[in-house]
Amino acid sequence: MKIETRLKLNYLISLSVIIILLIVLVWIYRMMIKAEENEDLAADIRKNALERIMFRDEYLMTNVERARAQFISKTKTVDNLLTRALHNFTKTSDKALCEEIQKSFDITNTIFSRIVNIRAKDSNLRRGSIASPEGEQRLIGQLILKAYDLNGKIARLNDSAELTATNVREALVLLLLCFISLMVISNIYNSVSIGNLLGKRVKMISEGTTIIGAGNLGYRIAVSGDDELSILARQTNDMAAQLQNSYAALEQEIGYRESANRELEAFSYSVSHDLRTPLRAINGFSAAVIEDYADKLDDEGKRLLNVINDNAKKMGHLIDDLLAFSRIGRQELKKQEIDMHVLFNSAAQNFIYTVSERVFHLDIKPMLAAIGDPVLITQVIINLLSNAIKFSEPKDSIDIEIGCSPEEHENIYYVKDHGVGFDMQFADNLFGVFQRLHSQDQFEGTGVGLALSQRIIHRHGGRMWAEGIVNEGAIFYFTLPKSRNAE
Amino acid sequence: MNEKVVEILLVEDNPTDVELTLRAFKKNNITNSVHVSKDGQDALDFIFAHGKYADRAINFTPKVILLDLQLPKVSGMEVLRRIKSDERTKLVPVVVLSSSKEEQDLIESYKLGVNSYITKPIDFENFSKAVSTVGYYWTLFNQPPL
Amino acid sequence: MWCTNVPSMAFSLLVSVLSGRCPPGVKRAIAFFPLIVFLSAFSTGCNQPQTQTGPPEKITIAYSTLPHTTVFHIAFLKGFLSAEGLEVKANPFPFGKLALDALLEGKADMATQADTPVMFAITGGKKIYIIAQIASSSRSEAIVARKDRGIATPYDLKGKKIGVSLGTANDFFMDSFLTTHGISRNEVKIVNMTLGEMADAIIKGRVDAVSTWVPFIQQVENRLGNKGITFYDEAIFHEPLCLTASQEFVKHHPEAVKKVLRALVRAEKFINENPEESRRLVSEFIKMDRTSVDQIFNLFDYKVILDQTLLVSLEDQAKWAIKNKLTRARTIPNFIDFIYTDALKSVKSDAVRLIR
Repeated sequence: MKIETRLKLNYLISLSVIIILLIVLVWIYRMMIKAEENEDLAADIRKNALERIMFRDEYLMTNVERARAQFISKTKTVDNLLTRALHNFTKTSDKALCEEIQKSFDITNTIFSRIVNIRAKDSNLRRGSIASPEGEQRLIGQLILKAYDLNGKIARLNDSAELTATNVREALVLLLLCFISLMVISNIYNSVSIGNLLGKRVKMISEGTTIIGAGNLGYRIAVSGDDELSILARQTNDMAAQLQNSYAALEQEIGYRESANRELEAFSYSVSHDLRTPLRAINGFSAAVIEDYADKLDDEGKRLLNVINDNAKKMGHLIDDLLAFSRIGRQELKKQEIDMHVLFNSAAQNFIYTVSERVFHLDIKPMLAAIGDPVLITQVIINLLSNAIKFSEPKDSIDIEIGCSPEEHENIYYVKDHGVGFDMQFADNLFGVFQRLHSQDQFEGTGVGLALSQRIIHRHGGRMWAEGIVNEGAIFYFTLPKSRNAE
Repeated sequence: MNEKVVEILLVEDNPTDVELTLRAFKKNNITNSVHVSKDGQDALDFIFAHGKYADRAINFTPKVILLDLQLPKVSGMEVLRRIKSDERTKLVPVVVLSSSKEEQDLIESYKLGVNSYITKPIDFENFSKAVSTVGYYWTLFNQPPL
Repeated sequence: MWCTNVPSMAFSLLVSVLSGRCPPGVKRAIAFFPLIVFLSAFSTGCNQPQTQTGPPEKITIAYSTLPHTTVFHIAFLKGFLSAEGLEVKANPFPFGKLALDALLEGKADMATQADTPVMFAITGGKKIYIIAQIASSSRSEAIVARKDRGIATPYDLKGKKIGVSLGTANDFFMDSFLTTHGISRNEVKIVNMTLGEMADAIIKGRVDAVSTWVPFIQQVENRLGNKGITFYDEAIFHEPLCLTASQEFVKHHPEAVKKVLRALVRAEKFINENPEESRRLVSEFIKMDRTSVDQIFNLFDYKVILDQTLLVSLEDQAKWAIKNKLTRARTIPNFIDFIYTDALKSVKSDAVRLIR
């Protein structure tokens, strides 16, 4: 059963118990009202019947007409009450009792009127002063007897009504308690069972995910049931299976890449070795020609040999840069916390001497520490600074600003110059290997520096980009992860 | 002079590099006798007086061995390992003269006990300077243990 | 007892459940608690008869074979008496007076009869107790007269020959009937006869009317056909049927008395709930045809009680007996001393409505 279903069930049980309780309460309450009405009615009958007896006795003893009239009036009252009782009492035994009472009551009325008749006939009778004739005496005796009988029955009705009322009240209390305990027990049972289930499932999933999270992708959570958490467990299992597949695919891919890398390494090794040897030969022998045959060569011949010489050297540089670039991808990072200020500052010191004959403004703003490989980051900084200086050369002075701004997880560092700048439409070409925006004649360099720098930054999980305006200057940005110790 | 003492053993397969090296020696007035081996096997035979060098006295070891790493037959690294693991030759100074700038070659060489590791510069001027420096140092200034 | 304790029990259980103080086993039991309460609350059989241990008590009861003794008949037939652990020897008599005689002679421990013989016994100084009224009626006596002798109203009885069994309840009824209609005993000719003789006497014309008693009223009515006329008078008559015992017996066997009463109370309940079956059982038991039983059965109110009507009835009859010198006593005895209320009070307290 789903947990949602269980909770709904819990809620429905409570609701239905409450509804049933309400219905039963209303029903019992109505019963109680009726029972209490009947109780009052029976008490009323009893009270009036007793008052009627008092009028009866007053009349029998004093023969006063007023007492007789009052007796008759009381009789009517009782008669009305009895009619109501006959209608109101619903229990069979009570109804039968009411009928008996009515009968006894009627008999007492008959006897009373017979006594009244006898007294009316016997005009000699003075008001209670002399003994009444024997017939009347007999009737009075019977009247008293029937009245006792009547009152006994009324008392029984009274008791019955009281008992009914008491029973209904007790039933009310009892039912209330039953329903409340029923509800409480069912809710406790439901909550406990849901709690147990939740606890069991959550523990299972937690253990499972911990094991899977620790790297055992082959582990599967033992799943039973069809509730939400079981579904979650199954989904976790599916996820683990998916991860396992992806992991296997990745490992295979890594295997391919590693072998490709090894091939690449072998390739670059032989490039470095094999290409350099002929270059050295070109360079060495052209130098030998210049040395050994200086007297036989005219100036143009010497110049041409020097061109050969220089190009061989340049090609050597190109090869070296290319190898360095490829090495970055394979090199292991030795990450640590870097004081960027120190790094920028010491890198900048290297250039002070090279540009000493010109005005050189270097503004290093406050720096935030970063995480990275200091050797590689130094290489990036040197590349950027040398670029900035190089492209500022046509200007009268060299103005370089170095700064930093913090982001959420990383810091952005920038190197800003006021050099020749570049056209933003070529911004993407800046970081390509051997991509140049300026001719070799204008600015020397192999065109590998920025590609290499970007590669280093990418390997640190950062980004590198540039903004520039032709003849205004350029800003090179790179990001590095924040130091965890940073305040 | 058949028992001519070889002072420098140059192990190098590339004839242009051999010529450039010898030229650099000559240019810098290093006149010591040089034996050139064109492959690793030849170098080992020479050092340990095997094969065609069987009649050579083994105790006359070169003052210095200049060793390229990229060699036919037996690699330079293997030659280095054999020299440095043999009691008779392990004290002979070996200078690796390689065109490789690979770090792993450098580390491996030092692990095997190389005395010096020099990357051949492309520029002849620098090359010449480096070769002559090595030649001077190991043949003239260095005092061998015995 | 149960009814008052259940709510408090339920409450305390509820409290302990809510405060979580109960062991797990109890929790499971409490799950069924509302069910138990429901079943208990709605099962009405609260006072089941106590099962008797030990040997049954022997008791002899003299009873009349007339339908107004139905309560006893049913108690005996349905085994309510033996269920109380009583071994009852039931001796049948055609009339209650004979049953009382058996009691007075020491041949029975208890007897059933109308109040008239009881009144005579007590005024005659017999040491007996009335244990309970087991039925009552105002229509158990009537005067059946012959219309062809010129009798159409009660007043026409003046100067007529009336057959009556002197000193019995029908004598008292006739006396009251005449007196309340302004006819004195001297103004009629009274012929003493047994109840059995009455039908023949009136049919054959030896008397003009008879004051008689169930079931003879119906017997006479049937034989007279449309020549007859019956005068009932509920206003002047009330006849309680009594269960009596010797004072000696009550003194020594108070528990037996209670047991008998308990059985009779069960019988009363049975009769009121199963009137049809009761009539059939009684008809078979007293060997009276169903038609007669059906005619008589509803004339009686079958209730085991002790109330004020008994006292008034006894006194009225005593007054009449003394006046007519039917007894040697000159004063009305205090009948309340001859009514034993303790037993019925302990068996069914609300059945006792006698003010002592």
